[in-house]
Amino acid sequence: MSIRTDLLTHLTQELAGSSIRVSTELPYDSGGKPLHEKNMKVLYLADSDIRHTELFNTLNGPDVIQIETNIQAYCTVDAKNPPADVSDMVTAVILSKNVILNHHIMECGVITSQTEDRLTYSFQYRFVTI
Amino acid sequence: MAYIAVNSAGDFVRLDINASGSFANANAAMAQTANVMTVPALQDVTVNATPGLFRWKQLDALSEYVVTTPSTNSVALTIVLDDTTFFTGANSTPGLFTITNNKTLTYFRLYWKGSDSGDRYVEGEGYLTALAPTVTPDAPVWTTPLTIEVVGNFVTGVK
Repeated sequence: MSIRTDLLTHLTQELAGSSIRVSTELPYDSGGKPLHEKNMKVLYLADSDIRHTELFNTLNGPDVIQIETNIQAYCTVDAKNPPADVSDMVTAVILSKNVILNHHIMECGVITSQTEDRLTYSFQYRFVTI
Repeated sequence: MAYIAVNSAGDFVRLDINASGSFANANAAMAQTANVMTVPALQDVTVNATPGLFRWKQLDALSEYVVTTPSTNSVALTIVLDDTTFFTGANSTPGLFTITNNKTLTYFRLYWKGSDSGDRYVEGEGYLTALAPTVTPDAPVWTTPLTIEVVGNFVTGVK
């Protein structure tokens, strides 16, 4: 399974019963507005950005290749009345990095931004393997 | 003039070793192909062929005098560890770790640029030293320096 699929599966279980729902849709724009802003309290995971870079160059091949996967996730809530369990959602999303096996770097960070009455959590996953 | 570029597949540097027993010379050891092991994933190779020097000064001369003493010959390299060549080996040639551990005399042949007919090589016999495998979280693949301390002369040849 892909990293995105594993994260979706885990987060769907982890956030079941909370006020945040997990969508399987990609966070595309609808009517000029990002889907996560249109549908608040829904967590969207974007598709993976994958990069193969050379960790060790060798004279007689094969080179050692490092595979880095970046995934972004978004969730928007009402800034005036955020759900009581929004911090639980943030913790669950950040800790979900640990379900991805066979990677020696598993990172996840979050940035919040406010637009009008909407508070958006933008998560950035980073996974690295050889 | 032709530069010795090694950046294409047919021109790769290649290091073969045979530590399966005693041979008359490296050429004979390389002929026993079943026990010849190619060391993969070379990161850098340095061939050191350095004559020793003895210098002295005289009161009746404006410059130093020098004579040569026996050469110190070695091949220094860095490799990315491969399970088979590091531990298992090839038939009667053990893995690099065992060769080093047992201080086994090793015959080697280093191709400068490709290993097809007509390609040049340098060969000889020596002992594997300076093995120091290392790994870090930022570079999570084992690598190690390795030096072949050459016994006697290098021998150059063409395949």
